[in-house]
Amino acid sequence: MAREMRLSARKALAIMLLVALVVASMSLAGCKKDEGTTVSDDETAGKTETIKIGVETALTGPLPDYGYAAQVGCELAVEDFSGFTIGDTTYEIELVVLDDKAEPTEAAIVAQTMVDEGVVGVIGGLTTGATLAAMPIYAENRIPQISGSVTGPKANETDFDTFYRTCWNDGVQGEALSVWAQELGAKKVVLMDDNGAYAVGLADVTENSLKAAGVETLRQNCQSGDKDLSAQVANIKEFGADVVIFTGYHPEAGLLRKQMVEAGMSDVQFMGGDGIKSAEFVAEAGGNANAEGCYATFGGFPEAQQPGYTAFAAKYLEKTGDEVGPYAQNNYDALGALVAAIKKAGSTDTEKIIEALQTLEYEGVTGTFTFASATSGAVTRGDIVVTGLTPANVPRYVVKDGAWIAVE
Amino acid sequence: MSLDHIVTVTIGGLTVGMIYALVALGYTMVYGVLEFINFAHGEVFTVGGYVAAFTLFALGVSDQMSTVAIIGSLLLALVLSMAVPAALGLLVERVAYRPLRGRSRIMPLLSAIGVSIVLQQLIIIVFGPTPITMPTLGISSASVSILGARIRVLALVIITVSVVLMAGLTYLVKATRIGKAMRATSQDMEAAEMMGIETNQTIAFTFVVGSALAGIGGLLVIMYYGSLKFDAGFLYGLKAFTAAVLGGIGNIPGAVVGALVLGLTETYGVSMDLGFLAWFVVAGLLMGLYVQLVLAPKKRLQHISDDRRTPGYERSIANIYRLAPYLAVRTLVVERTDALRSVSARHAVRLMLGNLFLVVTAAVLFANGSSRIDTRWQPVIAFVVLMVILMFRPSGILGKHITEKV
Repeated sequence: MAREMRLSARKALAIMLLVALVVASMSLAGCKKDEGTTVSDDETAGKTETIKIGVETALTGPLPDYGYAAQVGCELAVEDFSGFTIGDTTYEIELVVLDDKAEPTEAAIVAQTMVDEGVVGVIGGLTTGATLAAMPIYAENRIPQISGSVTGPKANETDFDTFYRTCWNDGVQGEALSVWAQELGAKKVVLMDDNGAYAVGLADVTENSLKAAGVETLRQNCQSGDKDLSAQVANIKEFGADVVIFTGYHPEAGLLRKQMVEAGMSDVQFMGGDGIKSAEFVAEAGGNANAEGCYATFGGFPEAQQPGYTAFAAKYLEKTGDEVGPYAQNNYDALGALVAAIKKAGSTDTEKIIEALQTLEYEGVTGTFTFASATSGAVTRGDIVVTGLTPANVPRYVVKDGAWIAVE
Repeated sequence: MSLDHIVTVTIGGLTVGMIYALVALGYTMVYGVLEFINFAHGEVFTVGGYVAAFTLFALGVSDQMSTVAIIGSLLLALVLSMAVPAALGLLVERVAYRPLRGRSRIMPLLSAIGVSIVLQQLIIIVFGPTPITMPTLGISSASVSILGARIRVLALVIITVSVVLMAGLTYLVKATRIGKAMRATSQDMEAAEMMGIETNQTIAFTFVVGSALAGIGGLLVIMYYGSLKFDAGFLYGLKAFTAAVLGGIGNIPGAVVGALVLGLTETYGVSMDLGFLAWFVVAGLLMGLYVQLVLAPKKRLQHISDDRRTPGYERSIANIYRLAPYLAVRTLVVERTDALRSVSARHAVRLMLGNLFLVVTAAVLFANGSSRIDTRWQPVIAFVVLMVILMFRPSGILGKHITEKV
């Protein structure tokens, strides 16, 4: 009897909890709906209109930290830029944040939802693969899209005039590595990647650029996690390379450098992209002596050189209690640039915003930039073009006394 | 293809192969005794490497110390990197495998995977997720010149140490009392128990020896490559397990042979030009011709009773394998011998097609003699070689044909 009682009591509790949950979720959904339809009129300062800006990010899936940082970047931008005026109309920004899980299929659904919501522009997506699936939908519906983190060199191969980005294309680093290697007098260059999408893309750009300049190249690769690179080192030695460029990450780069030095090739120049510019590289290469004089480029101006970074980091810390997450400032700039384009167009008509973006010059946290109007070399249409930046002056670093320091 | 390149790549392949062998021995010994795959073995190897690096750091080893002190601390690291994994192996066997003995085969397997995850997490908890690195020592980068190639002293040390350890292990298994007990347990555990052998102790001893060997492997790896990550054991375990299967699982010399074949395939496959690799195909072709012209006819004749084994019959079988059909048919018809000919004819054609394939392969390789395989193909090549070997020798290179226990 007692046991039955207890069971039924438990059952009742369970049902009560369930009902509470349903009610709560319904009321929450209701709240959201109300928010969505609010259009207020403020008599004192002319008209007030609410415009919707979409944020396509990936809050679940493999990169939640990147997705969260992008969202925070956009929210900070809304706090700063919302309530701008054109003529006598004040525009309030409402964000529509949707999660594409970094998956192409989800991204297509998200893009369609954005269109249905009637956004004037979209910030995102987060990853190259997912963004590729969403781009045609935005282009077809003439919605401008600015991504703060899609670095894949081939992101805009289809040449959409609706796609823009405020982060550097990996190809810029590839060109920079090629230029630098040629400055070092390279005649024979070995390019090595780790079979990952990032490393292969970067190595492809560098290799093509070197070949176009008449430098002899050899392509090698390893798997991420490999320990023994003696076969590759033997190939590099036989090829007689004077520069080796590793486009992957530091664990394999360190091992490669170490095994090259041990095979008697310490005089061969060693270079890499931002994947090797880590303090770990020095230890993994077997200490200061081995790593001394290794070179790396970096895919963005260092934070100290970004004009608005200190102020942005303070705001970010105040909002989240955390250090700035990856690409947060690029997303902040993306939204800022979109608002600037709307102001410049003097209208919320998306066709006019797209037109304005093509000639916009914007002063953001990461620097003053414009967007490329056409694809040329590694730079594709819609890429960020930072004033004064050429492949020859992409930030360069060298290992000295066991630490990476900027090359003057 | 210069000589020094060949020497460099060969020594590189042997070094990698010897390290695989040290780990593979643990897999194969445990399989030999218990017929189960100890998936936690790769992590035991990692622990060995971490203990070695940690000991050297704790002792503050550097080139400024005297030679005696350096050798002394290396010896201490060696002892600890054997003792800790050995104790770990013993503990794992006692806690995770012994309670499940005699149950269904799948249970210890799952337990092994669980142990492997636990050990990996423990390494992260104790040492952190960043790779552990070795203090820089002069000897770890010292090198000598052999036939114009620059070879690291440590590579030679790894090869020598491994050979000595394997010789010692062979002696242990073949010539000592405990080795006899191991062989008996592996042959039939119940019968061995009835003969008064302490099978539980013997099995525990097997784990201790296998884990200590893997621990030395970890020490050698961290000295050679300078760094080790917490998940390194997974890849090494996988490769060593493959080597053990390739050589014939349960067979100790087989594990070594399999590991060397795997190590050399990995390095030769991508760093030798095709002209050099063609000679391996030529060697295979010679073996194939030997099988077709000498071995196969001889084997076929073994099944024939003495009274039918006339010189004419022998000639006809030999002619079929030589693919001289006219001669074969004539002798078969004239001498009126039996129906075996159709079977052997098919066999002969199959062998010949195999040899023709090798001829074509060799010709293609020689024709592109100076080019080299893209490094991206490395895992594919290793897999193809593995499959080809297992196709011809399903129970491994040195594996014996398994008969059911009665």
